Amino acid sequence: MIRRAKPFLLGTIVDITVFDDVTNAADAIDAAFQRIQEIHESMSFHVQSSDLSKINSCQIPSVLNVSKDLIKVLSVCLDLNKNSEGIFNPAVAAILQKMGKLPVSKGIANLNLSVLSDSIVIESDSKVLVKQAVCLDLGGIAKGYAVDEACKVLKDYGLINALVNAGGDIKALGPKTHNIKIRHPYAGINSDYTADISEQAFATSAPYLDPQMPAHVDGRNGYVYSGNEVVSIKAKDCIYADALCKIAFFLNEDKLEQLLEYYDAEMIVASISQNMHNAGKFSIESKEGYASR
Amino acid sequence: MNSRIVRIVLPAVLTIACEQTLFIDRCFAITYLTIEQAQELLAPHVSWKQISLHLSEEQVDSIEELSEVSVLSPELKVWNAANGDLFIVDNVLGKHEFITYAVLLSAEGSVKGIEILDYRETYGEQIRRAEWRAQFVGKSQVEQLVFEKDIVNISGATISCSQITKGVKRLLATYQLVLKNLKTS
Repeated sequence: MIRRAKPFLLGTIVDITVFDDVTNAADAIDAAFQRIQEIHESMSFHVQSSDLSKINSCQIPSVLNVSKDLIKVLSVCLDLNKNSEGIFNPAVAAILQKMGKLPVSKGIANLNLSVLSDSIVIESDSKVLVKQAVCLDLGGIAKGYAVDEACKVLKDYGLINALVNAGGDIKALGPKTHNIKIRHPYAGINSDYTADISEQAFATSAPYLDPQMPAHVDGRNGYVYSGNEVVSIKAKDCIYADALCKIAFFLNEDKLEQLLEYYDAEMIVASISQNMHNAGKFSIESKEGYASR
Repeated sequence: MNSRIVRIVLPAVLTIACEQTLFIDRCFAITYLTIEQAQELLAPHVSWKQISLHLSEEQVDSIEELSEVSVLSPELKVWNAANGDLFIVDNVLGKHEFITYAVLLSAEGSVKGIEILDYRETYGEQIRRAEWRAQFVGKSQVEQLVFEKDIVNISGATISCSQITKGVKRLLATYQLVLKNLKTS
């Protein structure tokens, strides 16, 4: 077994484990990190030269040449935007950030977000038409895509069993079963709250941990989720696990069931027992201090 | 209907139990690379000589002032190579994690590479306890900790790299104020 980790990829630490006892495992891991780096460079919101930044700053209208990776991710975004009735919208978090305010309990009435397909149209596997000015942030989906692609690289190296974990967005390559621990809102990793995966992806959204970050925003109105539920999604591909665990906070249950069915995914929602709210020093308020630091 | 949604209600009592017992006892550690392996990865076939350095209070203050990052330990783990490269092992403290990482600096003080050596995760508040952290300096508390040595994978909230960024900032300030002069003297 060989296990390595690299910081700064996609803003997090990426951990790759290879379980096969093979001589090319280290090379395979290096190649997988390289692949993630490539995706990071193409889709970073903060890197001025990234393809994503080109879309965010181009003249309107423009047809831009961008990476095939970005086209693939944008097409999944368009699908998810449509299928989630606009909840999934990579344009919303950036707008809120630009405005410098994050409404915690109320949405913004005049946010005026259009459907994503009004702004961008995919013309080919390397060309995108930008019809309206947009400010996209792929933070809710790029990690999942990168994890999937890293697994493909490991598979191309002939590896059988491996695991890629990009800050909690996980995919298992091969038939081996992996037990994944899910952080308890207050007990951290000391919870016995776990899930098993095998040849599957797994992602968790825990908004309570980053109350200041607009990671869980309703794309229709800018509403920021502020509850203490933790949502985990098991899916075939990590790109869907990553995106669905954001959508889940806002979509009504019937629609959510349909969406999970459509993407062949399963969901676990964990919440704290109601007693929690009356537990004095263990109340949510008193614990938020450590979360926001 | 066969639902795809499973709901779990986590008992609030867990918090109390953990606060009193588990938090103090459990964490996990992953060792990705030993110091020697990291040296070989970052700069193959280089022979390193360790320099033992203890920062004075004034040096700690000036590093903190320049980098705006607090110094966790006055002990510096630094190695130098014949070509002037420096290899430094440092720790950073995150929300839930304690990360040991290595940085390769050129003779001019620019970052040539970073590798993660160890990653330890525990409950956020525990990690800030002085006695818990002390294990990285001495060995006094290690026997009280139950490390999970198996493959541990955690899902739930992205681990931020911001602490490593701050750590590197601190090391660059340390270079400017301490290591740079050390080499010329």
